[in-house]
Amino acid sequence: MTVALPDRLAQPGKSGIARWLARMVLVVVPLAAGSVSPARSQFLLPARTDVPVLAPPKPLTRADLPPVERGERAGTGFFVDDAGHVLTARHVVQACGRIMVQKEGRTSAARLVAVSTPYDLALLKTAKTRGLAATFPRSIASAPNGIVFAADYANLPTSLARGAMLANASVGTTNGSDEAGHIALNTNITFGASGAPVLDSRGLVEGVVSRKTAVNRVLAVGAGGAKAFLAASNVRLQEDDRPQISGSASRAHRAASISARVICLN
Amino acid sequence: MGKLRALLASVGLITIAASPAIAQGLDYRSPDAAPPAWGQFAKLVKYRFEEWISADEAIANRFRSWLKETNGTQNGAPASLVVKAWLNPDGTVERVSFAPFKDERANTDLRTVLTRGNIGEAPPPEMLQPINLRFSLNLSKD
Repeated sequence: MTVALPDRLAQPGKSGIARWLARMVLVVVPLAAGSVSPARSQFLLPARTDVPVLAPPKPLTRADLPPVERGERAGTGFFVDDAGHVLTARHVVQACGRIMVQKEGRTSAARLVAVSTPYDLALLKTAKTRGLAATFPRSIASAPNGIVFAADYANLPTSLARGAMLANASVGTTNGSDEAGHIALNTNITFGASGAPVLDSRGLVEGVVSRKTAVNRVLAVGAGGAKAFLAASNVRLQEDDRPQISGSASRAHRAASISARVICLN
Repeated sequence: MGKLRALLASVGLITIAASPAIAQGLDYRSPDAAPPAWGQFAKLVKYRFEEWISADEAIANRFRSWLKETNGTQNGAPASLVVKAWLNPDGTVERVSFAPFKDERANTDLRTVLTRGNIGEAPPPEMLQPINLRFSLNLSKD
């Protein structure tokens, strides 16, 4: 490694201060540079070589207080037809005494119609569709590095207040057969997002948020599994490969148009 | 909503007419020929109009009362009403136009109700305006 010195410091015969500074640079710079050499960096790494045990995936259900105290938990869902059907995550509505769907200040009762066995999905029925029904892609197009939008309904007003939002997540890669039928998202979305739609650049639903598997990594049930579940439940869903929003339109606003808050009362 | 249930049973997009500035010769775009993004936005406008007319607040209540009182009379609303709506880029309703009723206050009330809120999304920038929506007013008396 060569270290270039300022001319005045490198020249011999200068003042004592200059020579002292020159020595300081010569001493300090090699040490600092040495800390990035492979031989030294080994000491900075943990000696442990075993694979760390990961915490089990966390469902993204909002429950600020323990359920026994609050008596409820909440997630997100979205309308999938014009007859009041709402798709959400199964774990949001499991073992609920009552299920309510809340949107734009209106709350209505919902009935659990069906739950998926292979996937974390559940279908609810409300009296009417509020806002728009989602549209699914005919052909599945989500690919790694694609940008998408997903958010919990309770936080959408905050997103909307900031103006148009095109994306807040990117598609990652799934691991192993356990994650088959899912898409992985690199995102920091948090509790309350379970059941939220994953919207692509066309405003189409590419997935349904299911659970968090690591920091900034979330799994969503892919559109294929969601469509199969809805079809088996006799829901007449909308499918299209054409854009449902203009290219510059805010995905956050479309998410707000189709989404609702799902509340499970114990 | 008391005895009156003013149900806008079907509000359908019939045409998406062109504004002279951007249409340049196109008079309208039928829903089937329009891009899906336009249809989705028109559907959202329809939903908002339904919600605003059926809202439990003074002006909407008064308009629905007028509909009920004059239902079937010569001075009442027609069975079918076409509303043209112009939307601003921020999703607010700039103005609406419809064949006037014989009651001036009903005209003002409907115009007020339909222009008071935000649709919730921006109209597609290339979308032709105004949006034409057909309202079928079905009144059921409890």
